[in-house]
This record gives sequence, C-alpha cells and structure tokens, in this order.
Amino acid sequence: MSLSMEKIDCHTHVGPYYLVLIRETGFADLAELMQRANIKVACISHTQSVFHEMVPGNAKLFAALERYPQMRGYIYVDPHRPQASIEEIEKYAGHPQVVGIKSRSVYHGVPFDAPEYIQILKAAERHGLAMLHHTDSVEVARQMASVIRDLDMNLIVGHSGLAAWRSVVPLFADIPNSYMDICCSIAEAGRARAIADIVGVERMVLGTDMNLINPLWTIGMFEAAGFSEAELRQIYWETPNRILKLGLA
Amino acid sequence: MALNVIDVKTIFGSWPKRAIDVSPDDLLASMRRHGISRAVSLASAAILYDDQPGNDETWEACASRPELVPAATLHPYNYLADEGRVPALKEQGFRFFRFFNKLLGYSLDLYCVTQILRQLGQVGMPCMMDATSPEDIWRMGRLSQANDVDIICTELGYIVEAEVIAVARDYPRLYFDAGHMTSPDGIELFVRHVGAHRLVYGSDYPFDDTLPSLLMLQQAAISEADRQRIASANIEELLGL
Repeated sequence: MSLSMEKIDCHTHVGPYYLVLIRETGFADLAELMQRANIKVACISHTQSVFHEMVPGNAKLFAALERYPQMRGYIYVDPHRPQASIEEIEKYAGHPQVVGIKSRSVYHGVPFDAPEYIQILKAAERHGLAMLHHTDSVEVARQMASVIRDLDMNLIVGHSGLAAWRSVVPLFADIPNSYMDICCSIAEAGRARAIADIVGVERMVLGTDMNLINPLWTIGMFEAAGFSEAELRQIYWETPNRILKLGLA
Repeated sequence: MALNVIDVKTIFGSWPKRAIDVSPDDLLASMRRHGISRAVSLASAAILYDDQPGNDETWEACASRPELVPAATLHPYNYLADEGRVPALKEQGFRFFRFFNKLLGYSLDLYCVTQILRQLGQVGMPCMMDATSPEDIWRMGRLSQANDVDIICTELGYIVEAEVIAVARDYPRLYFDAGHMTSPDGIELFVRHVGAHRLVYGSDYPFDDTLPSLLMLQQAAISEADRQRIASANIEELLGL
C-alpha cells in the first residue's frame, strides 16, 4: 500500500454544491482533505465557475490561491462566452499558480469541436496551458479526439468516459498528448489497470474529484490495480508534474 | 485494535455481462487480502439463472466455508406467495435475502415485492435492496415499516445523502450500506445526524474493487467504537451471527 506516497491531484473543486449534501466546501476544508490523502498539490476549479458564472468563480479561485501555496488553479472557460473566456485566459495565464483551463462541453450544450471551443483552445495553447475536460460519453470523446491531436496542448480526459470508458479510452490510444483521469463514483474492479493497458501507465494521472468525492475512493482504485511502486509514483507525481508544468522536485 | 470487517455485499460465480468468474475460494482469498473476516454472499446462478438451484449452490458453498454467510434471493416475476418459498428458505437456515432490482430491472412497487417483504417480516429475515432512484430511499422506508422488516439500502451515491439522512431519521428499520457513501464526509455526516447503528459495510465484490470502500471506512473521522459498529457489529446483530 502506497498511501504514504506524495501525490498531485489533477482534478479537484472548491466551493459549494447545491445538488449534494457537502458541508465542508472551503479552501481550508480542501487543505484538510489533501492532508488526509497525502496530496501535496491540488489543481482546482471553483464550483461557481463550473455551475454558474465563469468570471466571479475564477476571480475567487485565483485570489484565494495566493494564500494556499499547495493549490493550483484551472481557468474555467464557457463556450457561450468565447471572447470573455479568452480574456479570462489572458488575465490569469501569468498567474504563478495557474496550470490550465477547464470546461464541461455537455453542461453548456456546445460540442467540443465547435468554433467557440477552438478559439478558446488556441488561446490556451498560445500560453502553454493544459486542459482538463469533463468526458462522460463517446460522443464527447470523439469530438475531443478530433480536435486535440492537432494542438500543442496536454489534455486530461476527465473521468475517462465514466461508465462508457471501454469505448472512450481507445479513442485516445494514439493521441500522445491525452492523459486519463479515472475518477468516477463507480469503483468498477479492474478499470484502472485496463485503462493503463490501453494508453500506457505513463498516460495515467491522479484526479480524485474532491471535494465532491472522497479522495480515498479514487486512490483506492489505483492501489487495488496492482501497479508497481514506480508506476504509482509516475501516476501520482511524475506525469502530473510534467504535463501541468509544475516544476516540482 | 484491528478492525473486524464483515462484508454484507458480495457474490460468487460467473457473470456474463463482465469478465467475472469468481469461485467461493477466490472470494475467500480476496477477503483475506483485505482483512475481511466474513462475507454475506450468494451464487450468481441464483440471480441470473434459476433461483432455487442457485440458492442451493449458495447454501452448499457456504456450508463448507464458515467465513461465508449465505444469502438467498428470489425473482418476484417467478414468485407465488402461497408456495411458501420464503419460509422454506428460513427453514433451510438462510439469514439474509437480497433483491436485485437494479441488475434485473424490476420495480420495488411490484405487489410481488411487497408479498416477499411481508413473508420476510413474518420469518424475521432482513434483506437488501438497490436504490435505483432518489425516490427509492423513502419507498424502502415505507416498505420496511409496512412489512415490519429490516431493509439495507444499497447503491447509494453522493447525490442522495440528504434524502438518506432524512429517511433514516424517520424509518428505524432501514439501514444503509456505507460502502458507497462516496462524498468526503458522507459517513461522518450520517453518524452525526442519525448514528453509526444504522450503517453496515458492503464492498460489492467482485463488481467493484474492495479497497476504495474499505479505505473510506478505515479513514473516516469517527470514533473507533462507531467504526467497529459499521464494520461488523451492526450486521452481526441484524443477522444474529
């Protein structure tokens, strides 16, 4: 068991959820959760941006990050507001704790390969930012695969397709700048190992979806998968550190 | 002190919809790897093929393996109350019954489900049901009360925790599977608002990895006494183990 191994978490949130019973949703609560799972760095989007308004959510996140050196931020982008999204990228791209952009195309009802997203992606690419994208279906994955292979950008495939992972993951098998984050409320036995067999362990990253989901839930999936210590170190630290350009030792 | 864990949610056998083929001894090996002392289990044949021979297979597999506690099942589509199959299962020695309403796609509103529950209540056999929608939780509460039977509600997720707590407070014969309370403080919130006496532990082996649910229970910020209740004491009391 490698629970004591230090970890970088590529997929976390902060802020309240109206749709679930979670009471501890602040930055200090997230810091406490990180300690429980030995997560040294958490990469965050703010729930206000994710569910409601991009600009104030991003502002809250990046203002707070300065008090939490163990946290990093994703700039949330909204394809219905492409120009404002690009302005958000320009505003925060130089922030010392920024790691990338985050979006959920299905939530907005805009295909990932639509011109609105392409404009935003190009802006993020110019700044060398990675992207975390919510990936819950084959349709979304196909759109992502058709776009991302031509970009100089690391893409984290958030959730790896959820229940549709068997069809989703192979779509990214030959796209070397795509990386699999397996967090999901279903702990299907063997899923982590099977995904690694398709894309390679070097293209797996830890994303837990805390504060929505207990980080031990996803960590348990990796710990149960029979990865060697060196492979776990790659998933928990080396690959996230490299693709998010964190520059950590 | 080491945590004594009893897993209330396992099966063995083959599963055609997944590459799963787990013998009772494979189940025992997995339990040992995870430090689980006993598991409530049943043969997949009872769920997917023919319930009576499947229940017999369960009984035989568990009879020679004291770590396994046999659970029975019947499909409500293939059930006639006056055949007395629930009392016969109790007579045979089964202590627990599982409905597979999610896997088999039947509604808890079926009258045959109520008839099975009524008989389970009469013979004093607890059971487990799947919550396939948020509405199922209150539905199970009403069913437990109306039929005087203890029901363990499983297949929960982080979305329904407020409903779980609300129903749990008003329906004392409804218990919950802590194995899939996946929000960061899901177990803690339940213990604070309802109490540890209404939670049991289920892994859903071999469909799910055991470790994620076990880690959440082991690391939950609750007292050691509450953790032990959830891990084994509650199910021991419910099943008279």
